[in-house]
Amino acid sequence: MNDFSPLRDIPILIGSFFVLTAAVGVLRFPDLYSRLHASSKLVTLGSAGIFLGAALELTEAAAFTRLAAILLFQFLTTPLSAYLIAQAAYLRALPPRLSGPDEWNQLGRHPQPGDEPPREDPAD
Amino acid sequence: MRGLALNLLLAVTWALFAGQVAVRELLVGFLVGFGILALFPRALGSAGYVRRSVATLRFTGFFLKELSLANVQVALLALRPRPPLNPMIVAYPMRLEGETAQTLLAATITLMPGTVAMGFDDERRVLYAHAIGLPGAAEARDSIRRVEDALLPVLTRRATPEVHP
Amino acid sequence: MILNLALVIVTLSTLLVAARVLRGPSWGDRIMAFDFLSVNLIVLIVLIAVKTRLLVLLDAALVLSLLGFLTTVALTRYLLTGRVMR
Repeated sequence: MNDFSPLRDIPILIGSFFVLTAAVGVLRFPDLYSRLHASSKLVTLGSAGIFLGAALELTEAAAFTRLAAILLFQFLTTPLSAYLIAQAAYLRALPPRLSGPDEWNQLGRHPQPGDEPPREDPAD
Repeated sequence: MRGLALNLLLAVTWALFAGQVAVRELLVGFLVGFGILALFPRALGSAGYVRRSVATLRFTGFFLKELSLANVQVALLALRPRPPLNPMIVAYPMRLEGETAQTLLAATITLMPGTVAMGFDDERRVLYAHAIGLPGAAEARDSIRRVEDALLPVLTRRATPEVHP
Repeated sequence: MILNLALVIVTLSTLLVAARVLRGPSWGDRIMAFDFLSVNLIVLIVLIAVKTRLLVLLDAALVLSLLGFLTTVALTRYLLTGRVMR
């Protein structure tokens, strides 16, 4: 493991760079909705790079199928959880910090903490 | 999915003729079968299948390209000293219908540059998205529209998707 | 060598996200950071699996990715509808 093999090391390096940038973005961006951009977008390519490098290093078929399953699951669930968090936060009146328009709320009134939460089922 | 069944049948037949049912033979047979289905769409009734497969491949290429772009864009925003975020929430009237198509659209734009899906309106006609790093609401809507344009031929059975102004 | 560097980088990012979980001004930030923390831990476990050659750790990573998503779904459902199960 001392020698440098570009096929394995470059994906791992790119992936860990993106994971670190995502963490920096999560720490630095001003509000929850902007932080969701960092955590949902950057981590898909970041983990994809690291899993690719790991699959090329662990050549066993068992490792390959498990890594492929984790990667597929990540690609499916990351946008869904970002969507669920953004929806829950907006409808439960966590105010976004905007410099542009808010077209969800045309009246210019954000949901207030006393509002009745919506009773319909968002997940299905 | 009659076309897919026919394609799989052709793959298995090819592998049987090759004398060995293994991953490599099945893969070659699948490609050869797809070529046959693409060459004789009338006789085999596979025009829709071929068109949707090509659209799926093109969508995958588009998706990977835009995903890399989105990652670089957000990484630059995160590392810049004063990121010009310009956050806003835009409403986008969707052309796609049906729960699966709309969920796929919402999941895809979350991974595309600048936009994160936030919710639908009560009639599920309008998609609300949070956008950063884009100059205005019109650009954010354009970005979502490009994703929808790439997604429409994958999900519709018609030969040509109807054109909206 | 590169693997050790990647381990250091991912550990650093895990610590940064943990700081966001602890600080996170609202509950939404905490849920988001917790979801992201589980993804970071999955990546960390995969890197450790490559380093130690223990393939069992990949199963742990798979289970952790399922658990992380289920936690987020349960929390957001609870906050939106007031209950988790029907």
